[in-house]
Amino acid sequence: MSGVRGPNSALTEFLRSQGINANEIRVRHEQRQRKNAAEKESGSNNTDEDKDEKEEGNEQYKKLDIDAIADPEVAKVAKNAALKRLDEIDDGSAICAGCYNKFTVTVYSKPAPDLENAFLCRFCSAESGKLKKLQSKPKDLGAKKKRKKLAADILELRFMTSPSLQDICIKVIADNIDSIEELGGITTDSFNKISRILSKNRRLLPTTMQMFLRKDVEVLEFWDCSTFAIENYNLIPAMCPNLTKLTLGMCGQMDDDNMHRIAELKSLRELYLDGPFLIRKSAWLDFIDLKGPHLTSLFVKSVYRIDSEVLALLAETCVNLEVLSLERLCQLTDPSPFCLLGNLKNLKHLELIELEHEAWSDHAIGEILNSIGGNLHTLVIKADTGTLTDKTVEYIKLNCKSLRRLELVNMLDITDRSVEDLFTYWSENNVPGLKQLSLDKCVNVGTNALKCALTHSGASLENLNINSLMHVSPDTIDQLAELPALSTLDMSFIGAVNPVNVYKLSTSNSLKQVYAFGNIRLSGMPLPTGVTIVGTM
Amino acid sequence: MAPRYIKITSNDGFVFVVPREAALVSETWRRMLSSESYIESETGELYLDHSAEILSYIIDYLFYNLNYKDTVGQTDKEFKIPPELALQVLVAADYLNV
Repeated sequence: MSGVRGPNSALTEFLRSQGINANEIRVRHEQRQRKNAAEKESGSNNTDEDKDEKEEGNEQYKKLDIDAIADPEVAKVAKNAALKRLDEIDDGSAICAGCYNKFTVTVYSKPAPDLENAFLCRFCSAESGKLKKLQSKPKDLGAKKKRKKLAADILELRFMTSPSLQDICIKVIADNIDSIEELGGITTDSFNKISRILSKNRRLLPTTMQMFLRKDVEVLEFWDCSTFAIENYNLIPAMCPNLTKLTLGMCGQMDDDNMHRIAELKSLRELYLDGPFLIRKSAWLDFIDLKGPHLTSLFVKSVYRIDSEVLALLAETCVNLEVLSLERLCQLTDPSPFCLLGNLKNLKHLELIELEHEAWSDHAIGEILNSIGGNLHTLVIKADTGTLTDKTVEYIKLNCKSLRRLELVNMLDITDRSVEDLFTYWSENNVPGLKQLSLDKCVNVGTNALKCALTHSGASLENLNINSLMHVSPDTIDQLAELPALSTLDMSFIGAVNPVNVYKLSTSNSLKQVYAFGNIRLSGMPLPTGVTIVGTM
Repeated sequence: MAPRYIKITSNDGFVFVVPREAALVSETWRRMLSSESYIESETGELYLDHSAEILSYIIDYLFYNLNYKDTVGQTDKEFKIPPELALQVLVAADYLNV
């Protein structure tokens, strides 16, 4: 044979380097086939030869295949003998309980699953490990996924197992919004639901927003306008001249011109603006001047350019306002203009949320409440630490006698005593009970105040927030289970809350949701049925 | 005696027969079938002014709701509606209050 070779494939080269010759393989294969054919003709001949050849390599671990022994008597004897040998462990070697072969026991040898003092050889333990993995892994993963999903569902308040068909349709529409050209024939309610889902998924775009603009629309909600440009805002008043209620959230790019055009909407009564920081003071003044007397509801959030002059004009002009919410107005660093809000004689709903530290004063709140406190149905005060004191609570006590909803949030300086006084006074003077009460993060309010609140409003209370009231005792929380109308309760971050409280609460007929974030004693407890507990780990 | 099976006719003339409890899932139909002032409560025959294609999705949903209303957490089995029909089904669902 000459040393010269032609071009070869990588496989041929590799096989040659390993001393494997295709010719030899073919010859052997033919021989075997011939032999098999001959055997078939001659009947059943033993094929042990082949078997021996194969097993020669790992003779040391050759399997003594008891199960394969045909004669049951012989098999029994062999098995018994093997099992006997299992016990006799000397010089570190033993008989494997899986395959009955001799092997050396090491620290890594696995014990046999159903026999004492018996071990598995390394082949059998590998096999059993594989089996175990096969049996356990997918099941575990499935359960884990399910648990996670359930926890996520509860956190997102998706308890409704079968969502309504309307919601399913709205979701499908929102998912395919890009391919829809026009929305028609659906109710305002569904209409705004679609808009809300789009906002939530941040897919309300200049192209999709135009679908919502129709001549007959009266209520329009765009909760995420961050993608809108100036011309998009102009489309709203141009295409929906009959708007009575307009909501624009995150409307950062809105400018003076847009505001002027919105002011020209004849039937506009309710306006919600969140973050229109480009609108200048002059535009605010013009808008309030023109539109003020018609507005019944105004929400303004996160604006820098509203100053005392604008607020004074608002208090003077918007005489028909029933709902007013002012949140994060950074340029108002003085409490005096707030006193003027007392002019709004029709006001029923007042929210003052996260104003500047300097803007809060008991005196200003007192001025407002002395003047209009008696009309208010809703009062929400979300103050800054170290500003409002017990005096504010005193003003509320004396003036606000038709409140249905009271929220005092983040007022660290009000004491248990003052809130106790408030509810005792209201009980004595037959003030009707509250439906919603929030003392969120008023950490110095404790058990006595809560007890008095329950005596006064217990029968009507639907919504209670006692988040972070660390001085509240567990037995007071037990009492909450007896409230006839209570449906939502937030008792997060109260260290004393224990599993017994939760079981008591779960016996309540009306209670549907309980928020229990940061209640360390509840971690790991099995959740009772009948009420949804949000926030436990 | 209230009929046990309800006949629902679509505007193109197809008739679907469903058990009473399935029809009761819809708030609108429930009122029609349980109040005596409606003739539907006697005859057990309802009419929906939508095509059979839409109605079949509505009826699918009625059974889906019956099946899954008592399970906790969200079901793995999602109710599917083709996007091109979603708007029409929404209009019908809005009327039926489901």
